Amino acid sequence: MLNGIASEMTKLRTGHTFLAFMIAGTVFVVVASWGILTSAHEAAAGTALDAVWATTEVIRGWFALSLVIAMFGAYFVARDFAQGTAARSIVMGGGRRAYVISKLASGAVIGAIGAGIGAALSLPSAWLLLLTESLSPSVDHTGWMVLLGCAVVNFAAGIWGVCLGLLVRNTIASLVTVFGLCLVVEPGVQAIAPAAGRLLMTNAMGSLYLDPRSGLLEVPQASIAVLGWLLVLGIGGYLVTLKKDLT
Amino acid sequence: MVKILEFDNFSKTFNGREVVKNLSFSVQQGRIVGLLGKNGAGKSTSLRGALGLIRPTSGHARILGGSFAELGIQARRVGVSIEGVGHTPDATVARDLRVCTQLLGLPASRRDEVLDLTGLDHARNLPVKKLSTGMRQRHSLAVAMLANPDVLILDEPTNGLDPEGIHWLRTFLRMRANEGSTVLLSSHMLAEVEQTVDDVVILQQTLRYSGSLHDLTAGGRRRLEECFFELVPPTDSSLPEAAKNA
Repeated sequence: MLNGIASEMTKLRTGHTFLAFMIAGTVFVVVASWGILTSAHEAAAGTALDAVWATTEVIRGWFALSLVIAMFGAYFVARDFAQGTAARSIVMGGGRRAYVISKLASGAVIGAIGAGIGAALSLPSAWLLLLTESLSPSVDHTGWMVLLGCAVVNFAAGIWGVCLGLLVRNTIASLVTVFGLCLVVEPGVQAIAPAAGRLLMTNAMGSLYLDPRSGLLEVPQASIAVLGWLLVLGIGGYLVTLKKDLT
Repeated sequence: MVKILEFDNFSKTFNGREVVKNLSFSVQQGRIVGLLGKNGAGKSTSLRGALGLIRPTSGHARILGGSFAELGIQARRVGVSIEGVGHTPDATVARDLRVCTQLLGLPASRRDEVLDLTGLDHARNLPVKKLSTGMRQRHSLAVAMLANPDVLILDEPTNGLDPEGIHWLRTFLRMRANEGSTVLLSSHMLAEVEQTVDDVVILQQTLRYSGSLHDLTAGGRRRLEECFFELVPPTDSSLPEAAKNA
C-alpha cells in the first residue's frame, strides 16, 4: 500500500498538470478578488473601503481554489481509468483496495498542497490588491478564521475531487461533475430549498470560510456535513472500484 | 505438474451478450501456452478475468492457487502486458518505469536493467506517446518484466515488432520457460505461435481445444493454421469472393 502511495506521489511530483492547475487557480482567485474589490470600490462611490473588510474578502477569495483543487483531484483519478493506468496500478500494486487507498492519500496530499498555497498567498495577495485601493492589509480575528476555513476547505476539496473521480471514472464527465456541482447544482438547490441545500458539500464548505450568505449551517454542523460527504463518497468510490469491471 | 493458471467454467456476459462460455483449461508451470482465437473470441476477456480486472458472470479463474485479487504482494510474481493495462502517455519511458518500480517496491536500478534487457535504453527520455508500435510493445514488456515474474501474461506480444524483435521475444520466452517461468500469450499470428509455444488453447466463445501443440499438429505433420480452421471454421463473410469460388 505504501508502494502505491509512493508511486502516486511520483506521478504528482513529476507531471506538469498539477502545477498548471495550481497556477491557473491562483490567477483565477486573484482576478476574482480584484473584481470584488473593484465592484466594492464602485459601490462605495468615492468613500474609502474598510481595510479589514477588504483584507478579509481577499483572504476569503482563496476558497475558490477549492474548485480547481477538486477538479484536479477528479482528473488525477479519472485520467487513470482513461489511460489504463488504473488497471496497471491494480494489477501491479496488490489490488483494488490498495489502489483506492493510495488515491485517497493522494487526494489528501493534493488538498494539503492546495491549502498550503492558498494560505501562503492569502496575505501577499491582499497586500497586492489593497495597494490598488491605497490601503494596507489588516487582519482581525475573523480574517484569521476565514484563512483557516479556506485552508480546511481547500484540503477537503482534494479528497472530494478524488472521490468524485473514483465514482465517475471519465475524465471529461468528472471535470463537468465537479464544475456543475460547485457552480450550478449546489447553489441552485440552496436557492430553491435552503434547508436541504445547506447540507450539500460546497454550501457546507461555505460555512467553514464564514461565507456571509444567509441560511448556511453553523461551523460545527458544517464540519460534520463535510466529513459526512467525504465518508459517503469515499465509501461509494471504494465500492464502485471494487465491483466494476475494468474493460 | 503444478497448475499455475486455471479456468473453471469461466463465463462472462457483457450487456446480455455471452462473450466467454464455460471456459475450463489450465496452464502448467514452465510451459509457453498460446491462447488463440478470432477477433471477439474472448481471448482478452479471459486474460482480464485471470487478472481480476473483470469479474466472471459464473465460474472462476485462479492464478497461483487463488483469485488474483487474493494474491496481494504475490501479484508481483505475475508480469502483465495486455491491452487496457496502459501507460502514462505524457511521461517519459524512464519516468513511467520509475512509477512502476515504486509500485512494486523495487529499487530504481531495476528500471535500468529492464531498459537494457528490452533494448529500450536509447529511448528512456522519449515520451511514451512518441514511441513506435514496436517500441511501445518493448516498453510494455519492460513493465511486465520489472519484478522478474514467474508468470507472464502477454496479449499479442509480437504486434508491431520487427523480425529481429520477434526473434528476440521468442528466444527470451523460451529462456524464461526453461528457467521454470510460465507464459500465457494470446495471438492472431498462427505461424509465429507455432514456433513459440508448447501448448495451445483455442477459443471461440467456448473452448475448442486445450492441449499440446505436438498432439494438435500430429507431431508437426499438419500446420497449426489448418488445425485451427478445422476447429474454428472461417465464416463465409471473412473470405474473399475468389476464395469462395475456388
